[in-house]
Amino acid sequence: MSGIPLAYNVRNLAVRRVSTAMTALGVALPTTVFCSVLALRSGLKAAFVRTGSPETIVFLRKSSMTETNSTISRADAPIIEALGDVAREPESGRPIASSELVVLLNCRRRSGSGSSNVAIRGTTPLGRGLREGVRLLDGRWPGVGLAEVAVARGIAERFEGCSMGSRLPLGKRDWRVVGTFDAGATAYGSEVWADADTLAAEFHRDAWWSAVWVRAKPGELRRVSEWAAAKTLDLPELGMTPESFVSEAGLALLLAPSRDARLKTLEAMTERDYFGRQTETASPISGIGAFIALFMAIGAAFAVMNTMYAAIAGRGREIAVLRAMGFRRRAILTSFLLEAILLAAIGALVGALASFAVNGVSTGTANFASFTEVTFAFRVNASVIARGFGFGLLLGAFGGLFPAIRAARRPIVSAMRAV
Amino acid sequence: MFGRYGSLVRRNLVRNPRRSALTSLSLAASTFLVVTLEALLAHLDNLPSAEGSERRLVVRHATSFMETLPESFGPRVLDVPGVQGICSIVFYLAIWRDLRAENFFAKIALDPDRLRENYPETRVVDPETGADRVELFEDFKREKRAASAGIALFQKYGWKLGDTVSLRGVGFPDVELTLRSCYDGPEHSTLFFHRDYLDDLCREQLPERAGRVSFINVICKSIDDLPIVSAKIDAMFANSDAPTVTETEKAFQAGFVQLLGNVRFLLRSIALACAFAMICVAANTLAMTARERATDIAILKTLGFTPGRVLGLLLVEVAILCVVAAAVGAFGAKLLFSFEGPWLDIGGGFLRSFHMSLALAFAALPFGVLVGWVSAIVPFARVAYAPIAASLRRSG
Repeated sequence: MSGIPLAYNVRNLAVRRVSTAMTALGVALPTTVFCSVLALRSGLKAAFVRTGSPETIVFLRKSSMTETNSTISRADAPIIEALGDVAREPESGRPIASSELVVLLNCRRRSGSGSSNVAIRGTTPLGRGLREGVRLLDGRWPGVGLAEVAVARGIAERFEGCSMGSRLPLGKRDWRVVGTFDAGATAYGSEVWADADTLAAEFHRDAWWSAVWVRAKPGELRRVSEWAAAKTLDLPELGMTPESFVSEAGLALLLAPSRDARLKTLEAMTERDYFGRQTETASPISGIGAFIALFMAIGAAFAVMNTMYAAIAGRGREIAVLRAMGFRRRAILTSFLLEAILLAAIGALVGALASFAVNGVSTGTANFASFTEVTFAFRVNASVIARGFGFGLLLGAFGGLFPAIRAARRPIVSAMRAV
Repeated sequence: MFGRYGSLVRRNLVRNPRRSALTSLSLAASTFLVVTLEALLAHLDNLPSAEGSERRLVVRHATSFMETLPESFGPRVLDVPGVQGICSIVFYLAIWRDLRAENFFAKIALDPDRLRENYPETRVVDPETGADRVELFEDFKREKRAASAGIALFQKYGWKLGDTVSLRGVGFPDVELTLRSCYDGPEHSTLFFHRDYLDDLCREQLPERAGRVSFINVICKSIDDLPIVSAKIDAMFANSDAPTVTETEKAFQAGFVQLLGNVRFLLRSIALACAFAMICVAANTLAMTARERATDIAILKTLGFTPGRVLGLLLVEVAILCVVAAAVGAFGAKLLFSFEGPWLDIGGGFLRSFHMSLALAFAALPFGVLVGWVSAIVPFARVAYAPIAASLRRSG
């Protein structure tokens, strides 16, 4: 004889309804927590990874990691703009480049959970044009020379004094909020934009910028590693991501700091790489979350074990009868293990689906590379659900293994005799 | 124990040892989490602070702590009446080895003459034995490129006095330091070095960073002066190029924690989920126990036990089980966190000096009993108050 029908297990679970429900709930809770942690991670990741075009290149001070830590001498900006590989506006012939400044402003969250640093970007009309995903929702962009800002929707919703018409205390003046913009799920969705020169004057940054952003001349996009192979370049010294895509002009711009002695204190990277790199250090929160899910899982595995031991103890005779009918030990083991997994599956499914409650909930945490607030939304997607469900099943399998072994090992005669 | 019924309770507890053990372990895991989360919240609310920290203020740029102040502000703050001492600090952002969390520690550049005044609770010690070695501090003061590191860093990275530590500045020049001194105290995982040295490098490589400080620590003469002193400092700089915010050290630290976002809500809701899971698990096992005991209980009642007494005995039994479970979880957590393991790296530096209080571990015990009783009362009351005949009939 082969396996014991699965219906046997299903009916057994159904008979012990209350016990099954309680244990399943015990599995569901850690699964929900686990899924929420995954959703937090994928939401945070999306906020960075979706940002950026491969044709936009940013120049920063070497090893400064983020704009907030970077300083570029004002004298370097025209050198970068004059590089032959920078795209130019068709009518005016001006290079498409934007020298920008990022200042952090400590703002209070509306939720009452204290304050955080919001990134204020001093940008230019050309700079706004470089970020294609950004569009104005309401009002207008800050005027040149005026103490005005436009605020990303996520920031306007979550921080005090950031909604239309409010005034932000920035430097020594109050800056009026004249517009709100939408940046999709990109890192720009956590920023406030002002006019670069006005912001620089307010903060006495007359000698340096934070970064210079440029658009590379368009062209066929190939991987950095492919370009390097084609041009017999030595990759390691480039210090860039070999698998990222760039145009030929983009590659030349990435190489500019190592080729042009005037730019040797700088480094260049694609916009996509710049934000992608920040996910690594982004949040201590997800580490804490994973730690918690692990311990909840341990507790739940013991609960499954308990329920399965009780189920087996109560079914001593049944097991003996099954054995007497000719089912092998292996079949008993498989059957009880399956029952535990089935039990956990109910909980895992409920738990994973329950995590949809956090889907889309938008919140913020600090990016610890730049000490700025990142607004993100929890993202529960198929991968999160699948991994959460798998986590629940694994937990059931672990909890059910020892009871199943015990069931399989019981001698027929003594099991028959037991009441 | 438990008067005349001690042995009855004891025997019932070990009647199904596996179940008792599994229930305890499951409850212990949940208790472990609940106390850990509570300890975390307590830790974040009350980061370890220096002796006399209630007399301390921190002056930072009004816009945010990432903006810097001119170094000339320090002496001016010192002149404010009610100020006893100041220490200007540069929060040096740098990478040691790589970006991994376990290689992160705080790096602070300051005036070594002010170091001990600013951190009076720290002792200068030998990194290997932990015994006092005051003379090391003089070595640190004398040499421009010297560093003084917390004893935890020495132990964790296997550092020795005289070793060179190279740091790759993030938006700062790189520095190369020689370990000359070691300190121990409530906080023991920061690396201190000379601000003069950093400033000289800045002047050569990054002039815009030279002569700027991240914040100024202020020690006031009396706790009563704090509001006046902070108001005076802020008024003094209100119209300068760098308006300031002066807040208590506690408020300043809280500002860092708040960057994490709504952690309080996150941790609280998880703790709640854990407590709820605990109740589910306990209720389930206790219901199984109650069913199994129906015959016993009917017999006890036949012998003249009142339902109330039977219920009382069962609740005592549950209380013992839960106290043991809670103790395993809570003191397990206390024990685990008294070692400095890799878990302290998880929180990105926030948990470096994370310790759980003994009081919290003890508080978990009544909490465990409460959880046990909440989950036991329904199934146990049901069997305790069931008619004798019905209970006996059901068990056949």
